Amino acid sequence: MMYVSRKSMASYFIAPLCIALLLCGVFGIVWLRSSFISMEYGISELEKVRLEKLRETKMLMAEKAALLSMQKVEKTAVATLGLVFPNRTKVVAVKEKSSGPLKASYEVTQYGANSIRSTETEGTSGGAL
Amino acid sequence: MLFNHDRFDQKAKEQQLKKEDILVRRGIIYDRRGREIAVNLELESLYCDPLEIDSPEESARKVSAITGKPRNVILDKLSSDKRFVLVERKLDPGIARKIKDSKIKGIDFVSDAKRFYPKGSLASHILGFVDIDNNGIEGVELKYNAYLRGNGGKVVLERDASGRTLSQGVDMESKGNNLVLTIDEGLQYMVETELDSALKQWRAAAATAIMMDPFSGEILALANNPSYNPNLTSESRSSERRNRAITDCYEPGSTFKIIVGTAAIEEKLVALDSPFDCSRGSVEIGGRTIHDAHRHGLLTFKEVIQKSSNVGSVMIGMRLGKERVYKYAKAYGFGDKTGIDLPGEVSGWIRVPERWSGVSLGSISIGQEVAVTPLQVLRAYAAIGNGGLLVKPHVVSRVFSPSGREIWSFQPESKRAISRETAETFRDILKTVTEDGGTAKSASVDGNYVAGKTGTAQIIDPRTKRYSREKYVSSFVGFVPADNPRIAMIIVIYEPKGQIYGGVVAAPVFRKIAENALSYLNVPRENVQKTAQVITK
Repeated sequence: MMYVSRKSMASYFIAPLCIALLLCGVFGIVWLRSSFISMEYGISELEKVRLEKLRETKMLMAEKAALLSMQKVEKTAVATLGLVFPNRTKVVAVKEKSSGPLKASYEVTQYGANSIRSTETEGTSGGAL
Repeated sequence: MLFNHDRFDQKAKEQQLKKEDILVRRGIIYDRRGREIAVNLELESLYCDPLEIDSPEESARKVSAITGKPRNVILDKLSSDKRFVLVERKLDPGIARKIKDSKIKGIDFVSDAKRFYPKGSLASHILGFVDIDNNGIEGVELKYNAYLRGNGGKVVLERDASGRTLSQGVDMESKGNNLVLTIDEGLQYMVETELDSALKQWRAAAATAIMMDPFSGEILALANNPSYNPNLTSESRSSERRNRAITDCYEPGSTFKIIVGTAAIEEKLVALDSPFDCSRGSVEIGGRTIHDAHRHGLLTFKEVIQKSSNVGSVMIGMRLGKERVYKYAKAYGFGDKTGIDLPGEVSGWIRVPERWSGVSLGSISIGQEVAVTPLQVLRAYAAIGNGGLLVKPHVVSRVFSPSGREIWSFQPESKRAISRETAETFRDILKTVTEDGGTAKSASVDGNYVAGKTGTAQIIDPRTKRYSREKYVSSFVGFVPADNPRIAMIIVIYEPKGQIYGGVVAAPVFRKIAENALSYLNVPRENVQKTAQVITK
């Protein structure tokens, strides 16, 4: 009977295994490095896109700020919409004095202009402006 | 491979590694309500590698046709013996696109930021402007350049054989810090609009207006006319870029009567009804006769200020004496810089008493023989409005990093000029100036009490070295609402034509701006009996 010793069987596999492992290692390292470089290329391309978007964003921000300038707003308001700057005498200031119902009435005064009179009657509510 | 290793290694690194500048982007400037008033545009600058260019003449012709620049100038650059030559900086995007489409060999673009002021000429004297390299030249751009400018630097990047860059995710942009100004865009616009109207109405040489919070010293608006557009500084003149509010002195005239007026009260030399005989219409001092613009009779101390009597003011000054007049002038900060955070401020001047002539006491009492800036006068009157404190005016309230972290904020400073009681007493007198009998009824605002003072001062003719008979400075300075002021403001009109008096020329400008400003700031009317009343809860 012929015995094939375990030791000799193992020796057939060890060398190829080592070589295979070595090759795998080398390919792994190369693959990793290649992935890094691909990623760096990718990041570089994305950065270009990002810079381009940033450029657009800044342009838009500047355009928005210019469009919202007081000069443009007034021109549009007056020329296009026919608005006027409010007459201060027609602006009513509302003061917050205490919690409670708000009452106001709207009536014509002796001065010939409609005015809003204040009252502080308890338990009242409503009143039309 | 084993020979000359170091040399080849170095050569390989030079080919493979590339140092690139980190893009430095200036911080943004906001007004107090967060509106952008100075931003950056990302543009591209054209550069070339002359050694890569096949035909410099042809390339120069193409680039010149697109950019409109002289062909020979471009040809010089394309024919240079350097490897990197900037041809044209900060190109308009449309022009850059056309050059790219023309596919000229040997040229490429680098990113370049351009400072842009989207509101045009608004607040130009506060903002200032930058040079081609985005360094501040004027205004807050200069004063806060260190904060606004980001930190530069270089990054080493790898590149492959075809020149493509391998990025490692390093942020290639460094942003500067952002500023928040005390200026309000809305108020600034109001001030500039009315100043422009006044300049045209009176055909004046120039005009200045400053609006300030009298308690904090925050400058809400500062305008000079003529003005300029900081986006087009090459098209502006130096006279348009002058920030007269702080760089130009003038003789204040009657607005300087605040000195003798408050000093007399503080030193308890007068009562409100102390009589002053101004019936002669003139007073002699040091061999010179000083006249009133209009002859008054017997005036009380209060009326001397209300009617702006020169004779009465000189008499008050004589009671005080030159030492005390000088002392109070210095207490109000005249002759010293206010310390505002803008470049180019001058201190004005007032001579020390030892150098006063016999007539100086009279002259200085009525605001001659002194040189002040509009900001100094405004600050003095703000002290009356806030109870006697001289505040430090400023235009920047805080600086914050791109990530939003506050780096610096203004710390209010003040020092006492006069007592609270004196300030309140003089404030009540100033209220009468805008009432019947006062010199500035045209400054009164419907619904709120205005306290202020007019000024009409002659200008020295540089040819004759004497006071001109035609050229005046008309001014009005005041605060409103008088008892708890929200704004203090000065209007100065230089060389108006047709009229000269501060009450006629400058006071109406104050009123128009103040009315709009009080509306804008939601300041309620004090007197609401006439046409509307306040609703209360």
